[in-house]
Amino acid sequence: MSKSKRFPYVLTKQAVLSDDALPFFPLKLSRGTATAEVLGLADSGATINVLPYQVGLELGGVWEDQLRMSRLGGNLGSYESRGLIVMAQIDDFEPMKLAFAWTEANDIPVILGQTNFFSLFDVCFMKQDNEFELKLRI
Amino acid sequence: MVNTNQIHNQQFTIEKVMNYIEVLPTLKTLNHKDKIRVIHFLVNEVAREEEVYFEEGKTYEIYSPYESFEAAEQLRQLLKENEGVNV
Repeated sequence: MSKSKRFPYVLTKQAVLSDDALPFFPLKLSRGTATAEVLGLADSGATINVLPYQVGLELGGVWEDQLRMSRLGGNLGSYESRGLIVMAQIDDFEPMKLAFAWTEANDIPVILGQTNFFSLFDVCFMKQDNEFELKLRI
Repeated sequence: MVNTNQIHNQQFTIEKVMNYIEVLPTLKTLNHKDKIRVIHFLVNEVAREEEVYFEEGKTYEIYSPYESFEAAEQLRQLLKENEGVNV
């Protein structure tokens, strides 16, 4: 199992210049037998992890059964969100639990923020090299 | 006192004939408000030159949940409650 891994910055469809590439990385989310393969954004400015509505549904989340969350900051403040615990497999790191604010919004990426993604990984952004590194803390 | 129009007119002159050292004494004479205006003006100019596509006055969506500390505490509590539980 890895302790650290480098990933390239990714150009999204909306990106105009190569400088607009962002630190996205692939991860496999699962709850029971339900799985979803997504690109997650390592977002050090985000207080929490955020899961788009559709991905939560793919993972078998039942909206009414999940804990209602406090209102989120930023543009997501206009959407309701629920707490959802999910297993995440990133590259060949050991699988880990991520806690998400599962939002009603769909037009957002999977966001990996301070709670609890950045509690599990040290993240080093090397923009000049268009790379970032995830280093497991535990 | 120098108003914004004068600053803009001077900027045109700066681009043509003045260099950084020459313009500094003029900038120092500006009051605080006008210095801020010059900063905004220069930021927009540099952004335009470098083809950065953020425009003044336009709203850009930020989906990062900043300062959602209550929600973060809720998630930490949820993780604690789910310790040792298979997901």
